[in-house]
Amino acid sequence: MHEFLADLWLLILAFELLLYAVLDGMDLGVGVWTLFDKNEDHISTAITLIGPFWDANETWLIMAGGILFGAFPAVYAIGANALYIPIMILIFGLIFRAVSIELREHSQNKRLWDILFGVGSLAAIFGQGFAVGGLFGGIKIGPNGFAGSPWSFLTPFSFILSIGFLFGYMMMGASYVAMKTDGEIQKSNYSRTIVSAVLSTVLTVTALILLHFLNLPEMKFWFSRPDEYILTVLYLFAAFSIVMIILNAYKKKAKLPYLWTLILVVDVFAAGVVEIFPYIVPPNIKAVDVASPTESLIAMLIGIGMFIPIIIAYNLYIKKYFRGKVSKAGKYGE
Amino acid sequence: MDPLFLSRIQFAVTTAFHMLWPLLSIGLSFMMVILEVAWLSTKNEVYYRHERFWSKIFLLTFGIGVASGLVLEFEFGTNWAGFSSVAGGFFGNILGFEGSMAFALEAAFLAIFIFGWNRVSPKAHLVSTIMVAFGASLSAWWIMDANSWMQTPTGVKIVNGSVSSVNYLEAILNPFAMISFWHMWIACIETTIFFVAGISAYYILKKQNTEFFLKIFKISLIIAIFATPIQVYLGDLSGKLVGKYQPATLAAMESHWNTNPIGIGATWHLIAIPDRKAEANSFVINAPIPGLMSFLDAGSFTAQVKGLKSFAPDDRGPIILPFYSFRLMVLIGFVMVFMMLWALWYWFRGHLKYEDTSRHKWFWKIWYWGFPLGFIATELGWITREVGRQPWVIYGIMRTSQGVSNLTTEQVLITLSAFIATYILLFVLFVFFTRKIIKAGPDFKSPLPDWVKHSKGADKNA
Repeated sequence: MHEFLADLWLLILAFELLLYAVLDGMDLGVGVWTLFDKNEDHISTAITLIGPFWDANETWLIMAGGILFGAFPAVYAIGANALYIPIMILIFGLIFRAVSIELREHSQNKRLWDILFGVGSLAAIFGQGFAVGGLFGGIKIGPNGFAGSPWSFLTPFSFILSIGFLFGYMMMGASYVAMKTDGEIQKSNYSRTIVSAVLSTVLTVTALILLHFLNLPEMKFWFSRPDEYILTVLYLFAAFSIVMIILNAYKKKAKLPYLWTLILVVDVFAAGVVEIFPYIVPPNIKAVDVASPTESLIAMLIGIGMFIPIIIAYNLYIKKYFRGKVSKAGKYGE
Repeated sequence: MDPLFLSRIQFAVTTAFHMLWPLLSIGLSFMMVILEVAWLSTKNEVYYRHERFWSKIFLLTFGIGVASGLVLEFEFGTNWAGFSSVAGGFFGNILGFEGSMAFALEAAFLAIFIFGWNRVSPKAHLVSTIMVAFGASLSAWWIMDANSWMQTPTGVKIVNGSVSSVNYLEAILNPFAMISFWHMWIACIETTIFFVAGISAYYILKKQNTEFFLKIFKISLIIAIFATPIQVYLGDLSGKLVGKYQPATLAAMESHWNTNPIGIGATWHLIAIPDRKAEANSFVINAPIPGLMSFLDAGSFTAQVKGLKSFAPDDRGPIILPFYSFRLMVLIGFVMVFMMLWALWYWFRGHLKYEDTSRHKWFWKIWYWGFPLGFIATELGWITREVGRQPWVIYGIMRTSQGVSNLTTEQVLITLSAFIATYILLFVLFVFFTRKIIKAGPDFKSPLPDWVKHSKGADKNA
């Protein structure tokens, strides 16, 4: 029972993080693209698109934090201790992202806030990438908790993973904006979708070669799992998705580039979960070893788990009112 | 400067800063519900214009609140790994409850509340506004509950450095939980109405939209009639609870060294300079009422109040900070009651009328300068609560020094400096942009939501 609950919470945690990556990843991707954009109208349009939702999207990260804290306190505590630097980078990134979205609207000098919005998003992405990468690189634990160096997170693996996060989020941001807009801005976002898809491919190939030669411990764990055939299928499907994204963006299909990007993210995320499950900190800490007592896990099912479908339901209900394309800055599908 | 000291300062800075925003956003969201109900039931456009005007400040407040609140959730792990791994099995659940039940609700319905005026029916919009307010207040409940558990940790069994079993009813309804939540919730309301009334006084002094802002001033005043005395009462109850469950904290708050014998009441110090080495106060000014401390803290003029000397020196926390922050908070609480009574008297005398506003300059000036009172009082109260709990992080179970992460001084020093710089910047920006919103004043020209035109008063389809 306890092991089942612990594994269940690991999967729920993964689900929350996936939702976060899909929803807020898109917001952060939009943020990064503002750094490459000189057209204020386009930026305003993109921000109008994410304006009503970024708070709600960030909620999934906050809930994931709460779940990790409540269900696996030692992992939350020692992990956050070890990953102090990337987490702080993430936090500061999200602060500046939030503030620049709110203040840009009231300000005359939009460019300043655009840059802050972009840099904040970039910092948040790298913070996430290095935090996840650092966790997978293993954390040194002594008798009094974390015993490694504050810079242990900085590995070739976590660096590559961060760039992967960056390109993935950029792809989501671009394909989403392309789906929700028309004209000039839509056109440029189709190109951006293709660019980030190509960059992702180049990165993956480079990473595989690099990781092979560097012989990283993370990768040994990666390829030593018994369920490798599922992974092969998932990775092949990822490659197929990339092709579909590029093809559909090239053909300027309305919703398909975004849809395939979603599929790609879910697919790659699923592959990650298959790789590590039932470990929570690979290669040797299983979820069940560090989970809170059974009654905590059950209480969390009542207080958090049951609410997840409700939250998804009302979020969908709200999104319903924001359907359609955004034509001009400030006008949302009217 | 070690990582422990710096982490404490960092947590204090980030919490003190974060608190400012929910104080206002919880209160404003509550006010929005009142305004929207008033508008929908009376069809008086004034209420709608007010709601739109204040919601601009609300949105700004909410954004900074979200960003600075996220910091705290991660800081438990980054800086307080010892505490988090020991308490997470319960404490972490409660933070999770806050996210899933409260914050998710507030953040999602915000989209309709702010951007949905022309998209949904009036009923659906009102429901969204209520959801935002309800989510915000429920957030406060869970956060105050988690903190109250640190103050009075009941219902949780800790074995070998982690939670081994939890009695949820006992832990969630720990002795401090209810009173602390209501004390904080009323603080949100009180802070907000004084902020709103202060800004209204500013407009009235400038003779700008006087009639319009007199309206919201009166609404604030009506709320203040209830909020300010209730808050004094809740404060009194809280003090007595501290005496019951954290006698060492109460002794520090009162700088009370020697336990008074039963039958002879303890004197209340208005001002005291405690001397730790001599275990006495080197200077005091006492309240002239004998036994006042016994009365305030234990309910009778002759009751016994435990002195600091009855606790081991290791178990005594700081004295000066809780002593003075407590007194200042109480003082501000009473100032707010008197301001309410003053305004009420003026209202009865008929001075709160458009024609009369230019006559009572000092009244409006004082109300104008009263706009930050709630913020200051709440911060002072929080200092009393958190510093008063020291040297414990979980009262009586875990010392603050055992809760800290394994960090280097440089790590915390850098982030602490970055937080201070960022928060000063955010504060300045908030003041700048709020002034801009206030200078621009309310917007009376933008069209009403579509459905008002369609329904023309008879909204059977709404």
